[in-house]
Amino acid sequence: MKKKVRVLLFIMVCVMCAAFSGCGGSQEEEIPMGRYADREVKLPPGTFDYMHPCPDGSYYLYGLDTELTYVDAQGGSKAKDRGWEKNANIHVKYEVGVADNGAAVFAYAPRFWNDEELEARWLSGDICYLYFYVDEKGEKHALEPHGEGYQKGTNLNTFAFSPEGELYAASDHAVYRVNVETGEVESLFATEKQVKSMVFMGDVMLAADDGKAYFYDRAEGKLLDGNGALDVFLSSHSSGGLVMALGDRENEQILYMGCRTGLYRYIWGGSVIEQIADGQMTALGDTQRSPRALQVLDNGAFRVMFSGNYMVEMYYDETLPARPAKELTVYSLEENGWIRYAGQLFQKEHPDVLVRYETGMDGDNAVSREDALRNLNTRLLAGDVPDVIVMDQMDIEQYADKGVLRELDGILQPYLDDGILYQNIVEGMRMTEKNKIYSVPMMVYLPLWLGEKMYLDGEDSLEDIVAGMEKARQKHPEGAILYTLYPKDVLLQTMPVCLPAWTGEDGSLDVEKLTAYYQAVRRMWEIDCAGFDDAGREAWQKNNMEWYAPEDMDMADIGFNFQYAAQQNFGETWLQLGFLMTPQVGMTGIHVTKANMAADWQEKELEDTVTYDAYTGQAGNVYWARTIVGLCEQGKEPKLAEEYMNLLLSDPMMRKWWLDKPRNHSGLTIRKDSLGDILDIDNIEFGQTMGFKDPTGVNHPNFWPTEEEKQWLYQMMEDASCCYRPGTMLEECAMEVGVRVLEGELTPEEGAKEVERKMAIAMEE
Amino acid sequence: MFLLPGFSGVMVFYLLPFLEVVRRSFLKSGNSAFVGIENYRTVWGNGAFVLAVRNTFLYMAVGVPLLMGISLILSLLLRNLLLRRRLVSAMLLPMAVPAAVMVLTLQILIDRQGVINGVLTKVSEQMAALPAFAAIDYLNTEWALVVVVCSFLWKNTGYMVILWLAGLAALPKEVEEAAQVDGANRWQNWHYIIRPGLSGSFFTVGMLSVLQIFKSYREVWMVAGSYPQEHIYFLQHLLQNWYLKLEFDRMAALTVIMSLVLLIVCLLLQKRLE
Amino acid sequence: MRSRATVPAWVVRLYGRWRKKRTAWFATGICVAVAVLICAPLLMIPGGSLMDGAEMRQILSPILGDGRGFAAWHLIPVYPTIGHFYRLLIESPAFYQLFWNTVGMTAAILLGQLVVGLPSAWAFAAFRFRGRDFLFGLYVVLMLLPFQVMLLPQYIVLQKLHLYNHPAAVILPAVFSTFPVFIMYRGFTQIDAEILEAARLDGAGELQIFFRIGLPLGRMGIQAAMVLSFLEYWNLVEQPMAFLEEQATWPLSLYLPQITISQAGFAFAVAVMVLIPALFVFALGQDALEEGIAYIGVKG
Repeated sequence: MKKKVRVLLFIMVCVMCAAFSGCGGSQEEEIPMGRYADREVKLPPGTFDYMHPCPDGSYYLYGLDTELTYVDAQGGSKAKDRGWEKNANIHVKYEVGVADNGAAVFAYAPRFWNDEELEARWLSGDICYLYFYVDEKGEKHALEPHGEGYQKGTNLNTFAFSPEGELYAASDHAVYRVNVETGEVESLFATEKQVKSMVFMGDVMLAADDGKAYFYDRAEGKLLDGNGALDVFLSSHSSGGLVMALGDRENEQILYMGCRTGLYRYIWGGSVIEQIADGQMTALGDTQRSPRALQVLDNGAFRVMFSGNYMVEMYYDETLPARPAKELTVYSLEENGWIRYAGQLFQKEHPDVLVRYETGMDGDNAVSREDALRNLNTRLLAGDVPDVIVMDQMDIEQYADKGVLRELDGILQPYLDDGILYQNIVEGMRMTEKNKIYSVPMMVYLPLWLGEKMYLDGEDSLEDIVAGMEKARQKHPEGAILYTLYPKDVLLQTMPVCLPAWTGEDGSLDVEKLTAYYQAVRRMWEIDCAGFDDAGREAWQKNNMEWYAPEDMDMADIGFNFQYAAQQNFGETWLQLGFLMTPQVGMTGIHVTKANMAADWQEKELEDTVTYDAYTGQAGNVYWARTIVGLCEQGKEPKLAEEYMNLLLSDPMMRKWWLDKPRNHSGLTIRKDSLGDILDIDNIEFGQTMGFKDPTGVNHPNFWPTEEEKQWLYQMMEDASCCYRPGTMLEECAMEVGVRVLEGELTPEEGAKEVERKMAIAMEE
Repeated sequence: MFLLPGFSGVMVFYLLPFLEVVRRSFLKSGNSAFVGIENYRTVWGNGAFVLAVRNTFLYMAVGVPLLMGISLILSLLLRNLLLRRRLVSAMLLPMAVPAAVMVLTLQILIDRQGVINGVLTKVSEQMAALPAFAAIDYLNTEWALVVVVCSFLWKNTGYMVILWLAGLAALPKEVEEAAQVDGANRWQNWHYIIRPGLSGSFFTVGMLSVLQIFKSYREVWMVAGSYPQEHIYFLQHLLQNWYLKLEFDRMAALTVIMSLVLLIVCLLLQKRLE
Repeated sequence: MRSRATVPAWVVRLYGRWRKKRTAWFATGICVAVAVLICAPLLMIPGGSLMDGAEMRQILSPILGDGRGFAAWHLIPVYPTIGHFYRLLIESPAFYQLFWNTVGMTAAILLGQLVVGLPSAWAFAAFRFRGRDFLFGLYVVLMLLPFQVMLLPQYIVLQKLHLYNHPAAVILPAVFSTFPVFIMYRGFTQIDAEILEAARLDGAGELQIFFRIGLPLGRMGIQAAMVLSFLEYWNLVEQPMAFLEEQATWPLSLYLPQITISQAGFAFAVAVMVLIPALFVFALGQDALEEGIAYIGVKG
């Protein structure tokens, strides 16, 4: 018996050893060479969105309002004068299909209805889009689809010409063959969704929607069996656009497909789809663009046309390692489009580095912030450390204390010495204990109020706001004063500028300040509530929830978002507290509001000029740090991480403030020159969005901030020195208790005590 | 021989990780310096630890006996019924509901302005004889523990009934029948036949109740957050919060203490009940 | 007190039968009441899944943070909508994938637990070896360890084994969980030691004893273990969250959105779709399990 036990033990130990030794040591593998790289193709002048590839390597370029341009295989281009631009002002084109010989078909709607008969038919639903066809010589005639299988009013959205010049079109439920002379339409087969692309392989046409591939035998006129592998592929790769093209190699017909995740190859008739280029390492992965067309070239290269006048050639480079030898890992809790874009840019500059961007919580799922943080901490503790961490919603001090973050003083010093960054903002991130900087916000929000001058004037504290509200209430006994629907909104709008004042030097809670805060906000809420009876309040809430807060939008976003709220609600509410969240749109937003008020809001009985200024709250000079980036002490690529940081702080990145999706308001850049550029009306990259450009090309900066306003903003930026970072434990506590205070469940004093008690537990831990 | 495959897996996925926890309980989190029993001392002298231990014990002291009692009575009632299978399945239903939805349901019910308070207020308004009812903020007062215990009972009763029924089914029927023929009354039946036969099940159900207590943490956390009302601040809150603060050393020390206590209790109980 | 002799025998019999029935009715009554009480809050789920956002928001507005009134609930929505189901079943292809992930994961875990856990439980129950009590105690303690603590070391182990971000990262630790061993063990201990001794004397091999005697007699324990494991792993949240990065490999339980009121209806719809298959699997699985064990007992 004893022997048996010993044998068993021995076996067990062996098993354990095997399990660990086999996996423990990671050998340095040899990375094979060769992968697809891409280079940009210079396009002829014009703004092109689409491309039609021809079999001989030449292609047509076109935009919905840009002339069809032919580029031959050698790269020489020639505009075909088809009068597209002339039509731009009267037509809104929706879809265009181009044939190899240059013939084209258009789906459009007139910009103005000049034809009464047509308009009547349009209104009756008889027609929807209008169509016309231009043959290869440029002769044009209207096309009116009709035929047995075609129901009037059905939109044809996708067009494709077969190599023989037959026109095929697809609606959201069927694919048709169209006679380009008569407009006669023959319905071929039904589809589940809108077919997005069609390619021709001899007699067989492949039509693909977002989840299914249909094979249609044009000679026999019947639908062939589908292909499960393709269906699965389509349903999981179609988001963001998918393009297809046929090519042949050694008598095998190959279908190439390009999408965000890469370039794929499918051998006709087979069941395997293999990736030949990784989207992340090529232009295909660019989340700012979507692929529009794919061309297979004889030399094994590909051309990919993207939205936004951009084309690349993808070619096989044998000198590049198949996958980058180095990896830079960037982590953020929530998806941040700006950071993602920086990764793509970085990768372009360093082809030997793979940038892995990981997010802790994305999309609709049960992963909460705490869960995501727990997963991150697991990795950190296990030594599997990312190189760069975006510290938004995280406790920076905690991570700095535990030695996770690297001090950045060295990296930032040159920027501060040269006065490139707003020093006060960077300095605001200094951690008191070790007196070092561990992270730096790329963008900030600034607190603002907006209202008539008679209520508020100059920079205002919490008490000033309360007093202003009381004045406003006397004048407007009914309705809301602030744009606050629920108690939480009051807290959301005021807490950021007060929270930093509640903790003393030693990290203890200043109960008196907190009590004062609760008293003030409670008063604010009372004043606001006094303007309604119960039913009125409910109606106002309901109205606003439906109107301003669509399902997916957080109330907090709206309350905070100064430019948005200011434009929407002024005149219904009389004082606006919020944050300046974007440089250009925000500033012009204020301007629009002021201008509007002067013009047509007389009926709102404004007595005084509308003005705005900084809102100091209890803390003063607060800025809200956004996209706070830190580097990891134990990251595997410290040098690369440093370079990445430099890229983030560079002007080209800083100018791209609008990329911070999904929030869409990333903040005011901390780089002085970038901020100035963004607010420069002559800077065409930014000037287009708000200004208005007349036909001669002159900009009318009608709502553009004045020099004076710009100076005011720069001054605000210079002054901002007190950092507010959302997501601290104190904030969570104060928010939760604050709601109870405003609801009258607790007195302000009790509320402050309650917060103190909870914080005591946290401190004990 | 029977144990070997299972045990090697347990070794890899549980025992070794546990030993790693023990090892780390003597190291400093971050730089992995050996600090001896420093971590244990920190844990022991920690106010939050004392609070958490007290609350967890209270929760167990109330929750476990209640759960075991209720489910035992139910399973005794159930065991000869025709509808047994269906009723048990119905009782198990809350277990199958995703935690997030269960929490949402709870919130709607027990919020200060939730459905329960609403109904109680209405009832007290309708009946003048009753004293006026003031809405209770269940999660922010002493009621919090009551809520937690109730939801614990709600979710786990079916679970334990299943276990009791399994235990009851294994009792030899003949003995009971013989006793009945001999004129044993219900009490005698219970006292002399069922209870001794179930002693092993007592151990199982008891331990699993404790397990479920630990597992109920996620729901408590989802309802009340990381820093809930003082009475429902449990050991798991402490563990979780430490984890979020990267204090794994303390967590490890706390876990070692906990598992020692559990091991001793477990061995003692096992001896007594088997 | 009446003497029995004075009452005719058939009266006693009838009285006895009535009494018996009365007890049964009484017991049924109590149990049904409890079951209804337990299920009552769940009645909110189907209603909620058919409720549109506006109605939900309106009746829940007090909870949303408005100072007055009380939330109400409509068991049957006033303006029912199938929008949530449409969104879930038609517009989100991910749902099906996650659903099958859950099914696959749960099936693999339960099967694995049977294969691995049964022998272990049998070993603890049928053999007396040195250190048994301690080892068993260790099993119980390992079962009770909070997941948060095991997260880090398990992560390290899984990474060493190159299992991280692979479904096996969830399945394997669950298969080797000591929890089913603990429950099945209980089922086996109730087998009389004498029976085993007798079988051994008869020259039956250990395997034979296990299949012929152990399995059929321990079946209640096995059943209980499987039922409880099923419930546990059907709604597993934390392990996949920690060990699976790839969303395509996630189980359905992680599909539930963060709870906000605007998402509540959708969340309820997901809950319905999680519950219904669970009930089916549950009902069918229990029968299959029972028959399977009986079959093995006969054949093995």
